[in-house]
Amino acid sequence: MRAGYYLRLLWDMARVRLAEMREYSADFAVLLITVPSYLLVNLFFWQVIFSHARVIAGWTLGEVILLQAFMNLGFLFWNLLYIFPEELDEIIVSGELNTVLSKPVNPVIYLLVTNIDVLGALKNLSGVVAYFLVAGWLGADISLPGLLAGVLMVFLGVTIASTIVFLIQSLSFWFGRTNALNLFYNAYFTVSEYPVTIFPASVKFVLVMFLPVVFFTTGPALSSLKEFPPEGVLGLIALSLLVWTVWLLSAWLLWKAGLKRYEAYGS
Amino acid sequence: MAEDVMVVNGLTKVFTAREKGSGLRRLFGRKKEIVAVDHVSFKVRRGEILGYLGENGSGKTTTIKMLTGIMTPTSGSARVLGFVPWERKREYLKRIGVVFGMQSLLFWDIPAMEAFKFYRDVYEVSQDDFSERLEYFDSILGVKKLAEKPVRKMSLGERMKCNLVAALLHYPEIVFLDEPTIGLDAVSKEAVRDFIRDFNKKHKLTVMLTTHDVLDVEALCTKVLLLDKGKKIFHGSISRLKKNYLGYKILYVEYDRVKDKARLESVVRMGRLVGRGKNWVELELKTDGRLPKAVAALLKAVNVIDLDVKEPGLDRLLVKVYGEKK
Repeated sequence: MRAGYYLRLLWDMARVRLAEMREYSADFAVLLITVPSYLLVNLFFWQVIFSHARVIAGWTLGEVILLQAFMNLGFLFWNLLYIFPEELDEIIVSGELNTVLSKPVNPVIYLLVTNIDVLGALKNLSGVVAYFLVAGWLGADISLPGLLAGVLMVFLGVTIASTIVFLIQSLSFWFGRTNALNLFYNAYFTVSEYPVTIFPASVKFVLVMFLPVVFFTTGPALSSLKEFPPEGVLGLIALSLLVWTVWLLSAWLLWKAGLKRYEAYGS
Repeated sequence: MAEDVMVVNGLTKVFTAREKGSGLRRLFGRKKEIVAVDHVSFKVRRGEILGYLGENGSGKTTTIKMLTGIMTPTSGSARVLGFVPWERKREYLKRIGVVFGMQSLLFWDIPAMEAFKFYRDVYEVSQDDFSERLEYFDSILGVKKLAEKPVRKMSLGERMKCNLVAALLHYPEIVFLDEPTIGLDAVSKEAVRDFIRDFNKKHKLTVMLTTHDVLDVEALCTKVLLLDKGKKIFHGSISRLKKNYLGYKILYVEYDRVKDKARLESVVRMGRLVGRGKNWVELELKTDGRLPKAVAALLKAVNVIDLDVKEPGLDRLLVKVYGEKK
């Protein structure tokens, strides 16, 4: 893979998205009001929950807010590096993929870099900053090496989730639209808001292997807390790499097979 | 003699689809095969402009999709610039260009210049080359000023001009144009044709063009290939196509006085009457020696003020070809 080449395209697309934002500056200005409001409402929601109990399933308010910070960081990575679920489905079905396939690029990497979402990234960046500050202020006991491990883990978690999305959306080569499977992503994002440790063992297993939410929010949040042992952090990272390898191999095989039978819809 | 840049042998694409029905029948109905492209073979020389023609659904776009690496054929082979297109080698894709009339390469909300810069980097065109090429495109299409306004504010014709620039910025050796003038007004169509002609002449660009506009074909193509239900039915020059399928010319005569009415009527009976007015007649006459006889007789029958012998247009020819097939 030619990393420099694709980074350049990523930068170009970021410039394009910024230019698009400048075209609709009023819309951007409204965001300056709606994003802080959304963050405040979310904080208020958790504050209300924790007004009934100081600790829930071993998690304090500060730690849950830390988990929210990692979730926003995950979405930030997603905005910058990966393609969102519904988009690939549309690209395949509408024939937009034709344009991609006729370019001298790796179609998967090209799709990833050209679908950068700068506006979404700015929204999530504000969430990351706000939630980390609030988590620290609420007394979440964060260690710096743990925090760095958490950032790495959330990156791996998003990579796994994105790979699964790619795999599922590749089914569009056979079945056309795969909108019905969007429920899967909704479940994924809903569950990722809560600590995995609160679920029973059988659900935990699913959330590690098949719907690997644990690497997205809970794992990173746990890793950055001082009480969590370093071997636990390393174990989680190793497990995430293993889970990713399995999903990546499956997604790659399915994508290759899909491309071969691609019917290039549209003119 | 120019080398063959495209060699296609027995190219075939078969799609499978469920037989039509409603409800569960549609989901679980029997599969049927649709042959979109049926053992098509042809060669294209460097610098040639090939009109790839056929009715809707005849397999034109499917062929282009296979030759541009978008789609894998069911069987057959093709070598374009020495590459197998569907292997999608980067070196190959860098040397071709593709324009689908219905799909845009531009970014809707922002000026086209941003797209030009993006494709400059996709194709790794140096900044010097980029500037020089923009000057060239500007000299024919007037795109420099145009490229500064948001794409959504452009007319269809303006968008197509910018699309062409985005697709040709890297100066490909072969370009596949799928209905590049679709929906354009007469002036924009002419501008697009002028540009393709100029680029072809200056850069020895090879063009494979699909279009429903016969004026595109007449203005640009050195050869045509006709498809019918996925099968090749003709490949050669337009003049040979006319000779093969027509074998007649159109004679038009305008006069101010009839000298010999019976002779005039005998001339009319020599061919097929296309139209007739008070002082004019238009006839289709076979090119089997009847034409000079008819002209000589007409000069005696009427006092001619205008006389014209012309070949039928390509539109009539295609109607005849596909009409015969049906």
